[in-house]
Amino acid sequence: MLFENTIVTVISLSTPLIIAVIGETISEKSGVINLSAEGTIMISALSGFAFGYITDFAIIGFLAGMLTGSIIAAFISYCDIKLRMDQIAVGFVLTILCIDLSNYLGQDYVRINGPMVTKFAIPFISKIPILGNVFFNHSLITYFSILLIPISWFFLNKTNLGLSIRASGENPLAASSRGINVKKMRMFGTIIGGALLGLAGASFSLYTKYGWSESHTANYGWIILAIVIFGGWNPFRAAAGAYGFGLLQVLAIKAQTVTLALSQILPLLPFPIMIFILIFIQYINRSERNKFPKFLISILGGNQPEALGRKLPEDVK
Amino acid sequence: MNKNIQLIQINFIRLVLTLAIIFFVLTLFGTSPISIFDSIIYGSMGSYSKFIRTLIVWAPISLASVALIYTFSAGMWNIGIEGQIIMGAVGATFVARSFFGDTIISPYVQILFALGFGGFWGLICGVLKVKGNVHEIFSGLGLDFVASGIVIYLIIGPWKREGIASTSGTDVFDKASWIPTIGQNEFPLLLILIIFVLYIFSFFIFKYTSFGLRLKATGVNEDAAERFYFSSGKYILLSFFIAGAIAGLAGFSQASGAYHKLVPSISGGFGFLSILIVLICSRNIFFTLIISFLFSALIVGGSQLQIKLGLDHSLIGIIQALFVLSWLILEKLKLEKILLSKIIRSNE
Amino acid sequence: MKIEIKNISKKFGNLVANSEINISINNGIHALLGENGAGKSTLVKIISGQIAPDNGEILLDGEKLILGTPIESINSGVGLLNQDPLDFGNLSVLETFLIGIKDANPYRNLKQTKENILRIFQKYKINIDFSQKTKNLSIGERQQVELLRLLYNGAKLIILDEPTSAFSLEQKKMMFETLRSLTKEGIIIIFVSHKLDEIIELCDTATILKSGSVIHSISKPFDSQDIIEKMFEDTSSKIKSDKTFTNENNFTILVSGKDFLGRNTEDIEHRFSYGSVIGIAGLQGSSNDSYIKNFFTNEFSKTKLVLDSKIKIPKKTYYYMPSDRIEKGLFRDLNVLEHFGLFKSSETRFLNWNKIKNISSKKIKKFNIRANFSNEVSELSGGNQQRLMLSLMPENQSILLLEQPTRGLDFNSAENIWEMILSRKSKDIAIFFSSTDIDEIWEYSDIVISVSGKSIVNINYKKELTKDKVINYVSGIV
Repeated sequence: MLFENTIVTVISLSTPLIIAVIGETISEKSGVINLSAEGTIMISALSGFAFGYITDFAIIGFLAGMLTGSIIAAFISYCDIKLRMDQIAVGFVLTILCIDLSNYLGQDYVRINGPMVTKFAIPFISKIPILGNVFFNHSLITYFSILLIPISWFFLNKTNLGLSIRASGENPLAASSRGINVKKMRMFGTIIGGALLGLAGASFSLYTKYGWSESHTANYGWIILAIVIFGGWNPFRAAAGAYGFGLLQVLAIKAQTVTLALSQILPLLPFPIMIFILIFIQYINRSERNKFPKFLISILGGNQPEALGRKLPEDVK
Repeated sequence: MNKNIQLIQINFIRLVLTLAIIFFVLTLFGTSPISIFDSIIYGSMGSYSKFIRTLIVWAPISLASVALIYTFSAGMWNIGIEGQIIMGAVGATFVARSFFGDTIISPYVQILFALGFGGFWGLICGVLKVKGNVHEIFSGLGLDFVASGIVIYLIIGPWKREGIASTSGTDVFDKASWIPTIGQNEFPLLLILIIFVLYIFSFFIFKYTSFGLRLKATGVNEDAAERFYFSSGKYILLSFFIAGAIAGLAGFSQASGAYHKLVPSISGGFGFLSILIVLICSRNIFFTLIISFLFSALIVGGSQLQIKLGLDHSLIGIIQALFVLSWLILEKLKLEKILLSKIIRSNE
Repeated sequence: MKIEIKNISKKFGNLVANSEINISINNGIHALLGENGAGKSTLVKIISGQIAPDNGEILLDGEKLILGTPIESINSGVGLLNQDPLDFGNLSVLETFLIGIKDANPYRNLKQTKENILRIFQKYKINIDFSQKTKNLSIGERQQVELLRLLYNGAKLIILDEPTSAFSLEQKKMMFETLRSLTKEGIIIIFVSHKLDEIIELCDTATILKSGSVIHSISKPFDSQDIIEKMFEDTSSKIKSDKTFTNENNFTILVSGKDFLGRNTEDIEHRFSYGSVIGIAGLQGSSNDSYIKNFFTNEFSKTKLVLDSKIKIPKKTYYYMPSDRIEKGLFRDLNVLEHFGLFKSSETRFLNWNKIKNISSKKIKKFNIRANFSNEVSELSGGNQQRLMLSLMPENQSILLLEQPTRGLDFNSAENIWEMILSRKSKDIAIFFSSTDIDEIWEYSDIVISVSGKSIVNINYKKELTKDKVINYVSGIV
């Protein structure tokens, strides 16, 4: 029973993480790191909650979140492609800006109640003992997040559009010479990624961590960036990483009852642990003398899109 | 036309445009930009004591900014600066709580420890980068988290206040461990001296030493370094160590000068703020000093906004980030030259 | 497919790259020959649509090709196989095939598409696992995949630009077989290469370009001597530098057995006197540059330099000048003065800019560098970048390692540079240089190392060689 409940909580808690991680994976596959993730998620959480509250429809909130994320991503894309600015610099400044914007604009929305997203048990299947409760008794947004995993994988790997996006992120010059509109693909990938980040933000304030407060979603954006790398730019692995992080969080909450001194720190622990796993993986992959067994590297090795984080070469269409 | 004069003119126009954007956004928020800036100027420099407060905020920011110039020169994104500031503060607190704490040399020993703790923290990022090719953004983030965790642990654990374990911080330091000040209003002479010494020293290093030039070269092209007989890896490591150490000093300033104790939010987000500052200063030492002062004035003056105008202090963060974003975009749009020629033509 | 190139001309400023080029190819494999700067790559770029010519037209099967747009060339059946494969390392072979494929929506009927692709692989007997990542393939295999991709997308004219530089013998054999079977289907191959042995083996007809014009059109059977005579300058020797002076000091070049053609020989030692100018000759795409760099980094082969005193030679003694100036040799965002500062930085801790300005002014004058102190290196022309790099040579006794020292320089500048380099003979231990210009090698070297592909074919004093012999060596004719 305890085990069952734990899994339910993990899946539920990780909902926004899954959505965000997949969004950022798509963006990075197209060659763009959305370093504003921390800020985007936060301000989308606010807009999601605010619009949900104003209209009293959670769905409007989710849409508002998606729109917010898309707008920010579109801005980054403009600066990246048209103005040829450093993605990382723009993303970083936007993070700070959006965090402060959310805190400023969100003052009136602190600790009030808005529309709730409730659980939606799928009829019949949810009655199956154990499995039914674990997998089929969640909210709609959680179902969406679970479905997003195979859908995004399929999109990236089994469709034309997905292939074009990936080609643009791997070798823009080659893709361009084969007739692909690289700029369009890159922009597309970035904005889809941003939309999903925004949706994730809304999922926080409308479901997982209900409501709005100052710096409501603090640190989640940063950890998303790390989980994407941990996931080797593959939706399934990234999802595994997100669930793993969720598990760490649940464990931390449970462990809080053990010691008081640590209880303040425990909620923070999952973040550095995740990052260290990431550092460890990067170290194994790239250290100068490869003393680690090959199979370990093949399991943990990621495939960083070759053009990730770089400006587009001049003669690309 | 003299290149330097043209440069100043362009920067001036850019400043005007940036301020216009900020004013516009503030108006959108339904506030009055004039009264906001009025409040800020008054709140930061309206009186001598307010000026001192601005200096106390200026210290860590200017220190963190000059620290970042070292890592940015080497082409590194030192996001770990927050953690480096924090660990510097931890080092200073360690001394303040030790048997040195009530001696007259306490602040100076604190400085040593802050340099060491901060430098060590920065070095970790450097080693991970050079030996393991781990991107410094992630190692920096991770270490930021760890540093925050360490501080919280210390505050409610081994260094907790007598009787109550509270997240409001440790016990206040013994007076001897406070930053030495002058006069009734407590002018932080030591801090100001440290800042000026570091800035002048850094200016000298970047302009007149091999080290500075090689550091700059490493940031441009790691591969070509070998041909000029130096190793870019070594310079990256050094840049992280130095940046960490100077950031550690910022932590010392916060612990010993601002709060006189260790608190959970000891870095105050100043690390990230300094990244914003250095992004627009293009490693110009002089500008960095000025802009960090401006931003500090914004913070100190802005703390009054709540009281005077009923506005949340996060508005200040918005102004700062907007300033930097607008500046960077305007830099790329290159409108200033066009505007300048239009102005010149209309004057003829 | 039949291609007619009519009166194609192209000028870049004052430089005539192509002048009234007329070539007609009906079938088979056609070689495009010529020295560096003869105009081959310009012509290739025009045919593939990357550049538009100033004059002239190209007819493919009687239809005028729209020039200057890559897509038009691709749609008309022109396929270009570059020296470096333009593919996607992290993607699988199948995926790299699918990108830009002519089928409208390959994923809609993936099974069918896969079968079609498999069929073309089988047709040309190329055995590669589709699911593998492209980066795991050898360069030869990547080229093969790229070739098949071009064919699949309907290429009727395939241009191969120095394709076999990185091939193993096995791969070359297979590639040639594939090319021959392609011609049987009416596909035309244009084979751009320097390697006379390959051209003689593979091609049916050939055009020789020189200084932008067609000077000869020939068919097989080919006479290599005849080709060499037509391609290269007057081969009568004009030995310019006859500064024979002796230096009692000697050094040794230890050539690793693995570097020799055939690879199964022992290590060999050659002793030369201080002040020798050693030219490493090789055609474009050969490893002559790599051997130069190897003396500095020891990464390419075990061949190395040994002094009589047997002490390890400190890095500072070498002065290495890469041919890739802006990528590997200079700092693009730093200005000229700062480069001189960097050069000084290995001697002193503190930079006295006045002193540095003095030294730099002298050097700028001496090497005729057209730039100001404050110019960023990226603003300099290629030639000036080259001169800047040369001017950074240290003053004390060194071992100079110069990759293509006069590349991009006009005749006069090149002469001046060589005067300065040669004036160092009395000072330096050794002066190594690589070049693809046989004349340059011949004129300035005391010793010639001939490189073909990755291997050293011959090392000898110039007095013991003839220019023709060297040309043969580097062309792979032993």
